[in-house]
Amino acid sequence: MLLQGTDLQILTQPLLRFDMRSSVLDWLGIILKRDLIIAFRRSSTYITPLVFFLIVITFFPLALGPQESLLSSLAPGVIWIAALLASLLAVESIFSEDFRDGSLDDFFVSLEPSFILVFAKVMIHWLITGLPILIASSLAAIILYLPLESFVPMILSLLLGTSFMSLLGALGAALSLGKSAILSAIIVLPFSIPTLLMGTSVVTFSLNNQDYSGFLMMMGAMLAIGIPLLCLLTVEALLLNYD
Amino acid sequence: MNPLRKQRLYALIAVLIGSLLATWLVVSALSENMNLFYSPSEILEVDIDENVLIRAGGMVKQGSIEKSKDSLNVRFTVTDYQNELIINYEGILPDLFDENAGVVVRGNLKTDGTFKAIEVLAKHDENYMPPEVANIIEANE
Amino acid sequence: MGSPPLFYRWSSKIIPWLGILAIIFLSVGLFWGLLIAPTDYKQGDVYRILYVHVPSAILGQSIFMFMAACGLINVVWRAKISGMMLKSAAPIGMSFTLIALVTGSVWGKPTWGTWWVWDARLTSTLILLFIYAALIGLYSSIDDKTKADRGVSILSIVGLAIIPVIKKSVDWWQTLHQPSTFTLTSSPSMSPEMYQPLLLCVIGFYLIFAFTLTLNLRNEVIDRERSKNWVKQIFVN
Repeated sequence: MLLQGTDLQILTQPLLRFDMRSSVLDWLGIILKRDLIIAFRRSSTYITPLVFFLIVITFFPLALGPQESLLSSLAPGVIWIAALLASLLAVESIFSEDFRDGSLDDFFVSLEPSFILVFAKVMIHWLITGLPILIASSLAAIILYLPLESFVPMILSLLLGTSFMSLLGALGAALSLGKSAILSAIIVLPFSIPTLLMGTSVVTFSLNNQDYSGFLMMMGAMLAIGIPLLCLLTVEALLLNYD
Repeated sequence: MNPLRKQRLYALIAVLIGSLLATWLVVSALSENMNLFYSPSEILEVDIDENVLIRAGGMVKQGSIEKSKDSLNVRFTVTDYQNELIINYEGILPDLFDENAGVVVRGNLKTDGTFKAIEVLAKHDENYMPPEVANIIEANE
Repeated sequence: MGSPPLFYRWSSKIIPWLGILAIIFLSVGLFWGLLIAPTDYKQGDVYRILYVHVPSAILGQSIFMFMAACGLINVVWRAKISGMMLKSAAPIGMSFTLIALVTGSVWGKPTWGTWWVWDARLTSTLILLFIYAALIGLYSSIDDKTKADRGVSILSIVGLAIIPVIKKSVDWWQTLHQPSTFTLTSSPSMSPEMYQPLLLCVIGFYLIFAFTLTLNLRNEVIDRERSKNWVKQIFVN
């Protein structure tokens, strides 16, 4: 690995320094810091989903022809499908590295709330896939001639939707730990359909100048129940490997 | 408190807060209009581009069906008992299409306020009865 | 459910009875519904497909609820038998959901004028079918059966969220699919000579489910216990 000196210290810190006095938030912070450093050391982790997203977007004008009215009416669906697929791309890597080198074992014997670990992993996954997609989506919206008024609803729906996808992805990754990467995507895809439907509806409604807040609230509700429940189920799924 | 119990307590609190928040959000979302479907009244309020495909529907108004003699063109009015929408369609109508029956149409809203349908679907209700019973009910009304 | 040998003996006794009961209920229900029940004032004879469509749609959803309940029991109490039940029920539920979609499509063509429409009821049922497929796919990808059971259990709990969406879709959204004829709060909007055979069909479909589930479960038990003595004894004699 490329890590050395102080970085290495951070990586080993949780287990050396952590004791009962630290709060859950300290724990979260330590994991986040450690994983972000690892992610940024390897630029492919956050570049790959981004490039994949933009290339898929580019396919559509090339395949369907550059007709502006057609593209702008298809834009919500195209952007959303590309975002969903791109966010599934790196799902397999959420736990696999830690599982292989044994740090996952250490987390589980530490007796600290293990759903905090899962929550941190989900946040990391969102930061390296969801966030880049969110930023790139404005570019996608421009090349697909999405009207400027629909930018805000698009960003808002993608923010909620990609977060939910990261949660689902973590569960899929935990269930298919050590298996082929495509399995986790297959498991997750059927469950992502509601997100796709609501997300595209938000943007389509804004295209028709209609109130889209209902769908945003629905997506928020999925996130609200999804964060605690999916994290807990992901912990269960991870424990499958430690029976 | 022992760590395992503390962990369970945290989890329980998180699920509780999550479900309360989710319930509140769902309830308030359901009070919003989330139909990808427009009634004749709703269609007056929105401003939809001519080439956007939408779905609309309501009851076919009595006596409003005008069929062209030499083509498959048909023109009828759909009502939600408050407002009306004139629909133009060219094609074969489903068997259950009739006056005072529900329809769902897919097509474009023209700038003159009429609707150009590319598809007409008949909606049937959840009531099932033998024809004799239906006649009795009709006679009583 | 007790020990596996006990279950084996118990199920061997009950399976023929379930089969006979299912055949009786179904043949009476379908004969009555398809041939004797009156025609509908609006749809004519086409409506008769509901004697297959409605029960299979009900079963597709209730089997999923059953599976999620098994899944929850398996995750919380690690009860092995509930995991096996979940596994045995999945293909049955998927078949019923598929039958509901196909018969619905056949019904939709003459009445609505289309084989398929992307309304909320139909779409959410299609998602249910995909979720069944995901569960079965996940099960087959994990070699250790106890682990596979638990993995599928976890996923089935997540999938449970689709059931209320299917159920309420006809009320929440303007769908082409008509609202429910049968509700808990009011009397059915269907004349008695039409819904009585339907009731028999629904019971018959539940009996088919019980019958096939017990069969599958028995096979599963034998398969997992194949190295045990009691299984060897059965097959040696």
